[in-house]
Amino acid sequence: MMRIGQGKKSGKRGWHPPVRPLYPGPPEPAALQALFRDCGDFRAVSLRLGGARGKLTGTLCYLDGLVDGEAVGAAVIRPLTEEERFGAAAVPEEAAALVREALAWFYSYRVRRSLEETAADLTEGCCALVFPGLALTFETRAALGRGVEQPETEKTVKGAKESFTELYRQNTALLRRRLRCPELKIRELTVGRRSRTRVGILYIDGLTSPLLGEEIQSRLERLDLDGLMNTGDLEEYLLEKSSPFPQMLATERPDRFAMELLQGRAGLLVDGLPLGFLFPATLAETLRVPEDTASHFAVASILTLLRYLALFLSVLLPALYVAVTMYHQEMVPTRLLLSIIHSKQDVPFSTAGETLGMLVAFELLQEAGLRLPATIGQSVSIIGALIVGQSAVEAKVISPVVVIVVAVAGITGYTMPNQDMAAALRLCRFGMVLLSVGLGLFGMVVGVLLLVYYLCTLEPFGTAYLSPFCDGSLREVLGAVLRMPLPRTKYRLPWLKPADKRRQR
Amino acid sequence: MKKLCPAALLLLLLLAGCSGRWIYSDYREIDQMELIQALGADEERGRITVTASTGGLPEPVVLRSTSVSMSRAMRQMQDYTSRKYIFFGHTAHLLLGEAAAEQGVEKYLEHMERSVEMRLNTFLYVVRGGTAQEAISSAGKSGDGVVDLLTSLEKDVQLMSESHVFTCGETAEMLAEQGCCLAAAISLVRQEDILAGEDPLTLSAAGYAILKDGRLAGYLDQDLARGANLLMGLSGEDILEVPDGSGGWAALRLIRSRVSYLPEYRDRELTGLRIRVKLDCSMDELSPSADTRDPETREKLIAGAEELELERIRCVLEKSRSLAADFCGIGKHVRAGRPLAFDAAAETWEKRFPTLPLEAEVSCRLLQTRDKSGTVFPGGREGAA
Repeated sequence: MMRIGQGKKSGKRGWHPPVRPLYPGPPEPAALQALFRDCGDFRAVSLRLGGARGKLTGTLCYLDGLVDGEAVGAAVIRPLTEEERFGAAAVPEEAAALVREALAWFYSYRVRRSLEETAADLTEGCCALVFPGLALTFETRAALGRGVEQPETEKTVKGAKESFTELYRQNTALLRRRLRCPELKIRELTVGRRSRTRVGILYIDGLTSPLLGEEIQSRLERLDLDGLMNTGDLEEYLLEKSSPFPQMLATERPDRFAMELLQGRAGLLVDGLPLGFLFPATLAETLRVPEDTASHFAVASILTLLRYLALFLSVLLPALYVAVTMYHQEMVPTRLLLSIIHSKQDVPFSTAGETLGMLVAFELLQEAGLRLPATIGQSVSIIGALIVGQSAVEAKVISPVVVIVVAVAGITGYTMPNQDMAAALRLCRFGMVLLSVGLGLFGMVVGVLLLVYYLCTLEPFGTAYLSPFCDGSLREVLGAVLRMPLPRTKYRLPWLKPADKRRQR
Repeated sequence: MKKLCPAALLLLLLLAGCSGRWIYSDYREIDQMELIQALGADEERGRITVTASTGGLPEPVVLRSTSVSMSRAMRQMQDYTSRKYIFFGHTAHLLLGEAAAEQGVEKYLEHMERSVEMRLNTFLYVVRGGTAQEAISSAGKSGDGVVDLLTSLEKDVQLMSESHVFTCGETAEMLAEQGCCLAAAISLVRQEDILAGEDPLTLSAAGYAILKDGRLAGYLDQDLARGANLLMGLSGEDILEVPDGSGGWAALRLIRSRVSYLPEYRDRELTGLRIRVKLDCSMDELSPSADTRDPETREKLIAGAEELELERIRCVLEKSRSLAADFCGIGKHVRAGRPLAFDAAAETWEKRFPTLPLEAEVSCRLLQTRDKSGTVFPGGREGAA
């Protein structure tokens, strides 16, 4: 089996073999300058350690904008040039030893002996004092990016109001504040030949299945791509089987992320992405929201059941409408059928045509609303839904029942807490309608069977996607569709195979 | 999934009849359909006339066709209206003309059972002294149509305990089990005190039609129909008008009734049957001169109610025995108590029923008098006739 990053042949463009190391050799000022040639933000200044009487001269390199200028001046240049003790260093190794002893200034520094490591530190926002064969890199990262804000898509009433940001370290800190235990492990890797994106695998030692963390790490290590820029990259490369159904949970809320880690999931944080990713995801989990635990169990249970109902309606309602109105009219109560017939009078299109047309129109409206700025997007929705819809019904272009059916299917799709799940349902909705148009209820039932079969084949990280419906006990199934009182929820989700199964006394 | 998709498509094709023509072809647009909701059948000289009516707005469409079979007659209707498809899947009411019922109802019930479009839960009516064609064509011509009339009639007769409308499935089942049964009878009547412009003809409940051996054998009038309802345990709310002892009349509302059959067996032979009916009533109306606080008045009211219902039951039983038709299903209830003893009897129920000694008793409880003084009889008072 060919694996990503193992030299896969890609047609006429030839091999894409992994190159290790990317930049061979020890750190040299000249080599570093050559490496960053034509980089407008690269800065290199010569520095004599200990001032004018110093014996050793190094080159201070940094990338402008990535480093905090004040920190470079006050915490690196000033002590190195004004403190006489550094003047005693005659060779780079002595300078490194002196720096190690001067922790008051240099709380975070690294000694680098390869050009690749030095270049990597520079691109992460460090400044490097480069000597022939050795470099000292200092943490002088500028605070780029926004501060912690409220979640945009996962609004909460009773929960915490913090969300992840694009800054990786800030995100790990947000999690550390919630899980103040040393058992919270963060294994860090760099992914992407060009992007060199920092990725952290998070898990709780002694709780999360040890195999899970290792499997994620091994898959990440196998990745050899230019850049890791968005969620899709992660999902498509990390999972065995690419699917429109979400097989990893993405959350922008650190509290939910921490909660899921405590359930026994493993998490992933990626520098530059304001989201945390949790593995593995199951269908039942995509229908849960963190607010469930903040509400009374009866309320949360009803809402969860409603979400399941919404899932079925979203996928099946248009297909059911098409099937019964085209093929199985005897199934519809007489009065309802009469009002459907009455509303369909003088509409020129067939039931199949107007349903498919409305579904497409609905998707177009949604896309238009999403791509435009919020204020214009709202106007598009209003014009589309109210004015065009109303006019189309009045002009007898479409029947009002079809508008209602498609709108209900769309709205129920919006109740999905997971947007990826909502998108997958939209796809299934079209498929089901096409099968119903062709074969009526028979087609719809075949569609449902195929969908269930397909979902059964999904096994993200060895967990059945339909757990616990396919392999759980009745108690576990009830636990998935209802929210049990928390004092009674003694155990973690068994399908995650946690090392520590019990969550409370 | 790569292997699954072709396999699934092949399966679809095979299950859909091994032919692509089944896909997206066997459908009908709903706006091209005419929903038949009431169907009538009359028979004359071996030919069946089927009258069909749609319901509701803007105006009911009535179609008529004649043939030797009901299926053919129904199919011929399609030829009359080429623009729309005549759909019988929503037929809720089946009316049989008196002549058709006399010829035999079984062929119509057979059709309802076998037809892929018709439903067994279609309500069955016999048009007393008339034809189904008249009933469908004339009734409610300028109103909401025969369908709305029948729909409200079906609810009303059960609410007022006038009769019970059985479905075709229930009728077929009873005929198969008992050999006889009751079917709701309706008649076309001229309305009195009608508004100007309103159609003078309407459909009205006319008791029960007695079906024996699949043919119409007679009728039970509305008053006797109430008695039959008591025996079948189908009695709804009824108003009992009884003398109050002061020269006036009182109206008692029948809240509920219970019937129990107590068979007597001797040497494994059924020797007698006691029918016990219990009524719960409340006071609805009373002449000003009467006083329910007076125990004597209450006694008279209760005795009056008991006597009235007992008389109804007696007449129904007489009719039933004279026709040798257990249309109230008494045998079924008796058998339910002791099935082994019932089946072991030498004589069949059909033979035994006309001569079996019967004893009926009715007891009534007056639960509420709604007296202004607040006198209440929580336990009621029981009497026997």
